[in-house]
Parts: sequence; structure tokens; C-alpha cells
Amino acid sequence: MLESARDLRISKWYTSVPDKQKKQTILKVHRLISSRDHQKQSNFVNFENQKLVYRRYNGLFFVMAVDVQDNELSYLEMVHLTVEVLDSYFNNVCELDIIFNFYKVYQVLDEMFLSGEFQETSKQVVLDRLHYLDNLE
Amino acid sequence: MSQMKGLVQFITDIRNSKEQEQEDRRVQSELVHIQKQFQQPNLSGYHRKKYICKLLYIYLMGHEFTFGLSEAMALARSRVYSEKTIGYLALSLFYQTRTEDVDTVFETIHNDLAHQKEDFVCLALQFLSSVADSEAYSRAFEEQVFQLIRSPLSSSLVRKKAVLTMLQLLKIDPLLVTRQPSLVSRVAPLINDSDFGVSIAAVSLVQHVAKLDLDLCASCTTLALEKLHKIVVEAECPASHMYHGIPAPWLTVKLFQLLETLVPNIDAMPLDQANMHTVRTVIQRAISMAISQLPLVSAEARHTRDFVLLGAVSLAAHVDPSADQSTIAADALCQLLQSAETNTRYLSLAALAKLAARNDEPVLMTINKHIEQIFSLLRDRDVSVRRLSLDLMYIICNSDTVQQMCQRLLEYLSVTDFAMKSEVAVKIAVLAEKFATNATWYVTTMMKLISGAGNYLDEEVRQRLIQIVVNNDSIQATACRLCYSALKSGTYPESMVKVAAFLLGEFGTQLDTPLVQQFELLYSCYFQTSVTARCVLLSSFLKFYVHEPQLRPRILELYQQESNSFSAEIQQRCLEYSKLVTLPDSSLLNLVVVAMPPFQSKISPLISRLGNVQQLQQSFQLNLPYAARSSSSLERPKSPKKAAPPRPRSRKNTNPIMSPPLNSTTTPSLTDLDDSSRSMSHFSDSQFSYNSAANPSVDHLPAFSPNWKEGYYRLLHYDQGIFYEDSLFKILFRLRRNHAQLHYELSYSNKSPGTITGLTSEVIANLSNAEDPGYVIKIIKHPESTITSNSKSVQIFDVTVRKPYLDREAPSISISFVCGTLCQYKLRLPAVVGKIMVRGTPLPKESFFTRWRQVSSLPGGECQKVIRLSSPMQTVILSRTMQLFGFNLLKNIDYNMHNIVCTGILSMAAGGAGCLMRIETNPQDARVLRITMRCTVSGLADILVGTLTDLLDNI
Repeated sequence: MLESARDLRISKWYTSVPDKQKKQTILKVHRLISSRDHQKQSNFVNFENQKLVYRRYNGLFFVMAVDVQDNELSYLEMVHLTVEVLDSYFNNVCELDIIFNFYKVYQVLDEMFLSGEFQETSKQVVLDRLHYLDNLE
Repeated sequence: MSQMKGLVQFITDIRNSKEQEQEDRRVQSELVHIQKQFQQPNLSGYHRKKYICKLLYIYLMGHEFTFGLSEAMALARSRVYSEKTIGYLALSLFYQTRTEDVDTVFETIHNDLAHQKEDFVCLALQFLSSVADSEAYSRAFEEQVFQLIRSPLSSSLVRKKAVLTMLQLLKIDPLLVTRQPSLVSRVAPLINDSDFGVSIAAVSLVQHVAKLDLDLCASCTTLALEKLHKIVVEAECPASHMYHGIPAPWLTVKLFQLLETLVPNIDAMPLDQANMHTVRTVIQRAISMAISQLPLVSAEARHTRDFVLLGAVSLAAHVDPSADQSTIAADALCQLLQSAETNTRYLSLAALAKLAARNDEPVLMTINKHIEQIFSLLRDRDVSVRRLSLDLMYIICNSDTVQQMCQRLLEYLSVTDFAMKSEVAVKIAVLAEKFATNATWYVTTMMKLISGAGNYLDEEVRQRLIQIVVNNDSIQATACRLCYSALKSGTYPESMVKVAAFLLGEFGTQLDTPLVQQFELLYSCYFQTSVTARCVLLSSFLKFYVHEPQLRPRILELYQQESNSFSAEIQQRCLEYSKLVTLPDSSLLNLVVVAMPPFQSKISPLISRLGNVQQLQQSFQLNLPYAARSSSSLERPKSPKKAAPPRPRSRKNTNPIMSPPLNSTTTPSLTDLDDSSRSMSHFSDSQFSYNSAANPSVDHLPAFSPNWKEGYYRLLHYDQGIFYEDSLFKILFRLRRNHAQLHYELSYSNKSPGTITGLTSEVIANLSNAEDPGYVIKIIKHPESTITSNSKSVQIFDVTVRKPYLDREAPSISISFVCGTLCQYKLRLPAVVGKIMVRGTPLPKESFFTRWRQVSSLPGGECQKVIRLSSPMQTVILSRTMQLFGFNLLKNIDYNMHNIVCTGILSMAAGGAGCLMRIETNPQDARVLRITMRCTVSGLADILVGTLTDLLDNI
């Protein structure tokens, strides 16, 4: 999964890929997504042997790469759930929150996904956990 | 975790940099600064964390540096949570490329996994799951992670993270399954865990294992269905997991997918009756809820409803071949086509295509009802939606709808964008040829197609049309008339000129219009067309030359004029043709210009462009684990192997319009049949191996749990009683005999103070010959997976006896559940063939002996055995046992009062059998018996005597 705007903000990889290849992949994804017509086209596009499921929130794109047979729409809604969680956690999230608190975004992702699978799909459970962690030293 | 001022300042500086150069300078100076700081001996934890954070930010910007790993490691070993988090995050990003210090990292993970602070355990699990990329990790940590899954002390939080970490280890090292054979049996019950996070994690893991080895997960189907039933039908879901009013949508679709994986092929491996019933209920409920909901307010709720519906439909298409279910699914999907969301329209079309590809008549009819909707999607905003609707139309077309379909596609052709024109044109051509029932309609349509597609028409479409016209006398005149008037109209594409040139040259004599006029028309086109079209025209004129003497001077003049053409191709033709026509002997000319012979080609050239319906169907067939995954892209197949002709589909009336000499396109060629038979044999092979793997070897009794004997032998002659009991639970047993059918009811009672969870019970057939089985098991109800203290749950199943089978082939039952720890049992089921015995009619002495003698002549009808019991048995008890077993005791037949004579009847499904038995006892030694059994079915006597010996020896 990776999220990008003009610049890449956060990327999280669930398969082991060398750094060099990561950069190339990010570039390709970026080109592909920016070439799409966001008014008219669906939020899914085939990419190499996978599918990209993406959604735009203001200037930020949230992109997830999933298997071809996966239920795309459920992942798209998962992107939205992630954004809802970020929004509540940062109290009306904006791109700056993500830039300055990038390490916290990783924390959010680690509570929602693991090994490339859904870990927790309850906004409440994730937020409770994040607030608990914030209060730790 | 509080903000770090230094970090905020640094990021602000970077963002304020006006040029790349300034930014680079800032980064370089910071890197020098950090490196200097790291050399300080007494760097505080806070500062170390701050500098590592800066390094992380620099790393994310894409800069490279070669230090910081040991500081990240030191941070990961910190006892302060916020420092540890950053330490692990930095390690997970930096670590990959620099692999020294593996031992230190492993040691850190080990320590944290064993740490008493749950939060540290979680961090270690998260780190492990994101860096584990080789067998070294799985071997080092699998035990510890597995322990976290098993331990009753682990919280739900730790357990879900441990399950997913285990999944990561499994992904990098599939052999882990063989090293941890109990993994699935420990994780499977978690599918039904009350914590939905744990549940979804368990589903992911089990699905992955099922892809590796389906047999390991056999018992999970029931568990997954039960969880689904709870969520979808009983609406059992904690408030925290409701998403915009919909209960646990992601878990629901995950479970749907798990079921698709667990049942790769419903025909080859059907679900038992109870599970089939549940799966239908769940799917029906999921679909009907989705349809019946009022227009939902929020976009989220709509999306969520849609993806659950799509998941349910996909499962329905996968597991339930019944037409009702598919029709309901198709109907639901068609309604989604009206959605305002591009995504939903796109996905419903894809799902419809998948459903339609199964080619069920009622489903196709349902979809055809919504054909207008699909037509309208041809004008969708999104090109991928347009493409999919085109594909769907291609799949659902049949001879009833072909005229309407082609008409619509022709209309569409004139407005579609250039990228799709050629594809639409080819599809029209193939559909028209394949389903046309009226030859004139076919030709008319094709002519419209040629006019409409213009220069986007593929050469192959034109060639195919010509082949068909040449091979069909009945349509030649119509074809000529149509293209003549098309040219006459003044606006025509070049391909029409080519077609007209060929057809008029060949069949122009069939028209009422004089050849001279035809020629004039073609001639008027000549100078407006390209070189290739001119070549065709020149050849056509040669035919006119032969047919119409009046035109000869003009044609010759043209040939001579064009002999000076700039085009070498035209020049050569004209030279050759003018030479040919000016030869004194016209025999060569007549030899060259002969009527076109019928084409022999059996393969429509279009098919290679398009792929046949089957391939399109295949491209929609998803995730069969052992089928090679076909490309799901709808692009035309490119490999030449796929260029097989279309096979006739199993739908009525696919008569081609072509007359027999041309029978070509709809006859399956040999290669095609070969293909299908090959794939079938491959399929049955894999199925066979599955079956044999599922069956324990029949030569040895499988290993049963200790204490199985008491219940087994008790119920071998009683029909009710305690089947199994220990300190945790008890199984009560009840059997009803109904001819060939044994109706079993097992009732599981929880005797422990705790709750039993994840209970699965599987009745296993131990048959040696699965092709012609001795009995068939039908599951009617599974026990519930959760039984609270002092309550019980019932399992019901039938065993139908078809023909005699050995006792060792009788089914066994495998039970597992978690009650504090994992408990597994394997018990022998008293379901031997003798259990269906009912009392024979009482016989008078004479007729008994008549029958006794009759049966003796049957080979294999008799079995006699002397047995020595381990303890003496009184004749009364012996008689009582025989009676309970099912025999009818006959008195006053044997002269010896101490002997027992009895009869029984076995109504097996494949045919009934009568049994006569005599047991001689020894008054001196009550341990010795001689049994003589005679049965009307060969081999049965041996089996029954075996059963009785076994029984008498063990009570």
C-alpha cells in the first residue's frame, strides 16, 4: 500500500522488494494514476499482475495494490475506513498532519493491516488502541 | 507520543526550501550533524529518537545514507515504548538492505516476544511480520509465535497479530505447515472467535493454508458457514464492527472468499446437505437484504452494500449450481447496473459476465430481460464499462436476441470511439455468423457493418463475408444487389469497394442490372481508391472482360494506361492482364477466370481475432486453486493455440445459416474436442488424488482415541446409549434403522465448567472403493461450534448402506474443539453393514431347513467359524445380544436346546439379503462357540461373522 500526492508521502510494503525496485514501482504507479480521468473512470486499474485500488482525497491519493481476484470494492471502502480513522485520530486530518506525523501514520497502518491482510476493521477498536498508545511514555 | 521540536523545525526547513539545491544542502548538513551526534557517548534516548526520526524523514524523501542502523537497533532495545516504536520502524525500513547484525535483531525480537508487556509483544510481532522474508525467520520464530496463538493468556489483540504474523511466516516458508501440523486445528476455531479482529485474521490464515493444502482445512467449511450465518442471518455483531449500519462487511466478504477457496469445485466435491442448506440461506439473505434496502443515504453504506452483494453473488455462482439462486443473483446484479457509481456498474458487469459464462439458460434469460440497461452502458462515461458491457453482450447473445443485438451494436458502431470500432465490428460479424437463422438478414447486416465500420473494418471480416457468400448460392444475388446500391448511394468506405469489386466480378451476372452499368459504377470508384483497392478492381475487371464482350476495349485501354502506373503492384498486374487478354488463344484466359470454388477453410479468420466464447468465459472463471489462472484481462487472446473455432453452445437453435458444404464454423474441430477432453481428464486426475489423500489407508484401522472401544461395542448392539464420555464432555448416541438407512443423532454435552468453542465434527468415510461405495454419508445437521457449560448440541446424519462392506471400511468420526486447550478425538462409528439388520420372519422348522439348504449352494454364501472367547458367556446373554443386534431368535428348530438359531434381513439399497445363523455352544466350555452363517448375498456371511466375533470378544 502506498499513498502519494505530487510527492510520495508514505509507503508501506507487505512484500520484500529491494529499494531500487520500490522507487521504480512508485514512479510507475504515480504515472498510471495521474493519467487516469478521475471524473469518469472507475477507481480500479490493472497494474502488472495486480490491481490498484485508489481514491483521491483533496490533493492526496491513497493507493492500494491488491490481487486480481480480490473484491475491489471492499478494498476501496477499506481505504475510506483508513481515511476515517486518520481523520478522527488527527482531528480533521490534512496533508500537513501526515507529513509532520509520518511515524504516527505508520502506527495507524500497523493497527489496521498486518502481513498485507486486514487486521482490524472496527474504527472504534483502532482509535481506542491508538489513544491508549499515545498515552504511553 | 509528544511532538519533537527539532524534527518539526527540520521538516519545516525542508518545506521552506525554494530550490532542490537548497534542500539538498540542508539535508547534507543535517546528515553530518546527526552523524556527529551519534558519536557522542552519552546520547539520551530522546535525542536518539529525534535523530532517527530525522533520518527516517530523509529516507522517505529518497536520499541515501549509510549509517544509523546501530542507533536504530539501540532504540529498538529501549524500554521506553515511544523509543522502541521508532526504533522498530527505522529498523524495518533500513534493515532490509544491510544485513549485518542479524543475531542482535533476532535476539531483540525474541526478547520482546517473550516480554511481559503486551505492547512490546505487539511491536515485535508487527516488526517481524514486516521484515520476515526468508526461512531463517520462520525457523527462528514459528514456535514462539505459535505459542502466542495457543496461549490462553494471550489477549485478542496479541492473538490477531500473532495469527497474521504466522501467515507472513507461512507466505515465505510454506513448509511451515508440515512442521506445525496442529496449526490449522488451533487457528480454525478462531474463525468463530467472539473478537471479530481475531476472526478476520484467522480467516486470512486458513484461506492461505487452504490454497497450499486443501485437505488440511476440510473441517473449516462448517465453521466459516456458522460464523456467516451468525453475522448475515442472525445479525450477531458487536456495535464496534457495524459499518454504516452493515454488520462486519469485510469479515463477511472474507468468509465468502474463504468458502470459494475451500470448495474449489462444487461438482467434484459437493457440500453436505446441512452445509448446502446454510450456504443457500446465507446467500439468499445477503442478496435479498442488499436488494430490499431502501436507497441508502451515505455513499459508504451504498458501497458497502454493493461489495457484500458482489461477494455473495460470486459465491453463489461458485457453489450453488441451482438455477434459482443464480437467477436471483443475476437479477440483483442487473439492478446494480443503474447505479450512479462507475465502480459499481463496472463490477456488476464483471460479475454478470462471470455468471453468464456458466451458460445456464434461466440466467441468460434473466440477463436478457435487462438488455436495454446493458445497451445503455455501451454509452457509459468510462471506457472500461463500455468494454465490459460489450463483452457481456457477446456472451449472452443467442439466436433469439442476435437480430436485436446486432442492430444495437450497429447503431453503437457509428458513435463509438475509434479505439473500439474494430472490436465492435468483429463482434458483430462473429455474432451474426454464429446465430443467424436467416441468410438474407445475415448479408444485410454484414453490408450495414461494412458501410458503418468503414476503414476500421478488419481485413478478416471482409474475407469471411466473401467466403460465406461464395459458399452459399442463395445469398449471392442479394449480396450483389446490396453492395451495388451501397456504391450507388455515393458514400461508401473503401472496404465496400473491395467487397463490391469481388462480388460483382464473380456473381454480377445474377443481377438484373446490366454488367455494363455495374462496370461503370466500379470504374467510377477506381480513381478515388487506394492501391490495394485498385488491385482488387483490376482483377474484377478481368472477369468483366470475360463475361461482357462489349466492355473489352475499355478494359484493355485501362490496363494499358495503368501499365505506366507509379505503383509496381498495379503496373505488374496491368501488364500481365493485358498480355493475357491479348493472347490469340483464349484458353489460358478461360483457365484463369473460372468461377470461385467453395472455400474449404474450416476456421473463421475472425475467431483468431476475437477468441471464442469459451475463452471469454474462461477469462471470467476466477480463482480455482488448481486450474491454471487464466488472464482475467478481456483483451483478445493472442496465442495461436487459442485460435480454435467456436464450439456450439448448449443452447437451442444454434443452426448456422450456412448450407452443409460450408458447415465449417459451428462444427467443433478435433483439436477442440481434444482440448476439452484433456482438461476433463486432468480434472478427474486431480480429483482422484484428492479423494485418495482424504481417505486413511484402509489396510490399517486408523488410530483412534483411547477409550473408543467401550462406546463402540456398546452401540454395536444397542441403538441408544453413551457413545463417549470423559471429564470434559459426553456424546449420547441414538440410532434409528430405516431399511437401508441408518439415521444417527449424536448429542454433545459440555460437562466442563468452561465453554467449548470451535467444535467441529467430521464423519469420515473410510471406503476403499469410492467409485462404487458400500455406503453414502449425508450430513443433515452439524453441531454448533460453541457449547456453553452444561448445555448440549446435536449432530444428525444418515448413513445409507448400498452393498456389503468390510467393518474396517465403516465410517469414523473426528471431533475437535477448544476447551482450555485443544482437544481432538477420533472415534470408530458403529455403522457396520450389520447395523441395518432387522428381524426376519419367524419360520417353521421345515421351511427353515429348506432355505438353509438352498442358500448353501450359493458360492460365498456360507461362513463357519469356531471362536474362543476370552471369558465365558452364558447362552442367555448370547441370545439377548443376538436379539439386540437385530436377529430374530427361532425356538424349537435346533434339536440341541443350547444352540441358537436365528434369522435376519438386510435391506441394502442395491438389493436385500436374508441371513440364517446357527450358533452352537459347548456346555462344557462356555468360552467356545461355533457360528455358521448363511446369506443370500455372496460375501456377506464372512463380514457378519467378523462383526459378531469382534462384538462377542469385546463385551
